[in-house]
Amino acid sequence: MIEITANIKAEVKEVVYQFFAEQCEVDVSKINDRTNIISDLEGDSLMFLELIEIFKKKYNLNIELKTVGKYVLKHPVETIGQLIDTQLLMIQYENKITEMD
Amino acid sequence: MNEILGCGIDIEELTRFEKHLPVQADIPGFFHLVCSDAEINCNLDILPHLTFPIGFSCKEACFKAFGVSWTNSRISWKDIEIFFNNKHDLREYSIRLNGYAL
Repeated sequence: MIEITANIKAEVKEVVYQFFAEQCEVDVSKINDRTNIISDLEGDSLMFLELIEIFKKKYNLNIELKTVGKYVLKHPVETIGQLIDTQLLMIQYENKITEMD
Repeated sequence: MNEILGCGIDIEELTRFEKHLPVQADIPGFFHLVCSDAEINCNLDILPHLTFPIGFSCKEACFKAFGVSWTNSRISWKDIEIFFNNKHDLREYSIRLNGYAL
């Protein structure tokens, strides 16, 4: 389990913002935590999966998509802020993320 | 009698998969996230630069045919396996459903 520090929070936010700015070809200043991933940015599941892979690699996480799917089923991710929170929980709890309910 | 339960269509840009494509036998983590070991072993030998993206797209289409996505159902990516059987014709593939996709 990784302790989430202010640095990790800032890093995750930076990666997520930059990722969507690049993938969706929008200026990063147009993205905020309330930005809707689908209706505002036209994001898709491939982007979500790529981000999971980026953080898996970056933090050497042991987490399966099945587990992420189970968590997201109960905690839908619609906005950038919700996505950042989910990524932080994945980093902190990895495959135990579903036990956090 | 066979019954059509749904119809799903998906389109993906091949270029978006370029950075995830296998280099020889080295499979990037992305495809380990969405493909089972059996799929990887089968499709690695058949034009992987096409079978992996097409397989991903087929899985997406299956989710749509079920009327769900991986984030709002219990079906996971590995519950839908795509196996290509013929390197001369990528239209020949089989779909194996497992787990919650059954």
